[in-house]
Amino acid sequence: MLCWIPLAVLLFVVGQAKSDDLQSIPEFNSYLVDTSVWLSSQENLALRQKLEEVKSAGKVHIAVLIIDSTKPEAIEQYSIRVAEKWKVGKKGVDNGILILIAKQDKRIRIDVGYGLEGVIPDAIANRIITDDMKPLLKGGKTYDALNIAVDRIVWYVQKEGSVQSEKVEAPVAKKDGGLTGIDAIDSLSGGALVFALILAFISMICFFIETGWAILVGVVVPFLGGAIFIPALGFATAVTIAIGALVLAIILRFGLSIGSSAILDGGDFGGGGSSGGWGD
Amino acid sequence: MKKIIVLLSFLLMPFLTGCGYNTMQSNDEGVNAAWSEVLNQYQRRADLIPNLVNVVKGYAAHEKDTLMAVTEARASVGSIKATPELLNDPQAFAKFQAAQSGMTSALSRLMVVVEKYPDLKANQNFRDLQAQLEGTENRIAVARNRYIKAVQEYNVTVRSFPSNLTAMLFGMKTKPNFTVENEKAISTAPTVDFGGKK
Repeated sequence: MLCWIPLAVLLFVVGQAKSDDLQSIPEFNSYLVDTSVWLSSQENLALRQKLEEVKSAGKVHIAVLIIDSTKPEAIEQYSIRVAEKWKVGKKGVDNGILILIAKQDKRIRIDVGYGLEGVIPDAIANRIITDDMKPLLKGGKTYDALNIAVDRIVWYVQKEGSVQSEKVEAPVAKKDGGLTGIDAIDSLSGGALVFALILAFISMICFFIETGWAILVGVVVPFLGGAIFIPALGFATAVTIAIGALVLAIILRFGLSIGSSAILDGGDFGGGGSSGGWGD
Repeated sequence: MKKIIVLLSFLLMPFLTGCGYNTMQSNDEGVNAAWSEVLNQYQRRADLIPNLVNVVKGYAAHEKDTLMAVTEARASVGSIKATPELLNDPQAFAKFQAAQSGMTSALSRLMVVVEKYPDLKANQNFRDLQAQLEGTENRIAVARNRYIKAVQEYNVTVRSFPSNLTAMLFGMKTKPNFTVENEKAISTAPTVDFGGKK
């Protein structure tokens, strides 16, 4: 049984992001995060307020992140990590925009959420960066550059009207366990006892790998199974206990999945948008 | 005696859920969804090509070879039926990957050539197309990354003990992952002959 320990360790290590050398992603504490302290405190406050207003208007959620550098990654690689972590924009609607400025690298990127890709296609994002932001950033006017970018984005969004999310549904693999497992068990009819026994012993080994709520289901099925195949156990009692445990298992399962949901509003990004620089 | 066996087997049977079967199923779905997104983005890139070629032709008609290479690469990409079943056929998957990298190199050669034509670079139409192309390449990169992660998750389940026993039982195999082909060729930058062409 101890052979599962190295496996568990291996899976844990594999599961860890190999991100020792990469830039860390700042915590999201407001719609404007300025870790390189580029804007003055007045500008910071004013811009933050503006972004809050934009969010309250509901059509688009814009977040701004200013950092020193994205090295060793390219700005696109770093910003998609931020977008995936912060999840700006409403879940399902995916109406988030992330504006990222890397001060030392002299690079900008605008990441557009799935839902806004029709409203702000890459060409438009590129125009905002090249035509609107770049000249101002070259002149050292960061606050103005950000302001005009926000205004432009809002203008495009308002021009378009409603925002539709068009992403392909990509379900995150969840530890599913229980409910469908019961169907699998039911399909093994009473005649396959030996087969079931062998399978059960294999499963015992697996059990130690899976998450703990499988235990709960382990309480349900014996009673259910026992109730069907061993009438002596008392059908009514067995079924009541089984149903009770099942309900508990369901609550626990959905409770767990709510706890693990997105940090912000859950908006998804697909890598659309544009990058640019003012270094030349 | 029989009662004990039945009871025992039913007591142990719920641990079947721990065998990774359901995890494998949802991981498999995750892989398929990620793959669809990859195909989606590759298609998007292919759709941009005709416009791009036309705009470049207007300014750089002399660059026939480069433009032809792009058009041919698009044709070869289009000839491969890209479906989810591609994942179950390693040969077809490799072919698909090769065709797409062919498209990528043809496009990057085109972008290098375009540097010679400042009028073309200044053209708003071209700038928009270039932005769209860069955006699509980024989307492809993101989709591929997500696919790689999804396949990793799935393959780990299929290969690690003891869920690999379940995998064998239900005939589930590992899925192919993207590889960087011809690493040597990629690391040498494409040379462009500016000499004789004009």
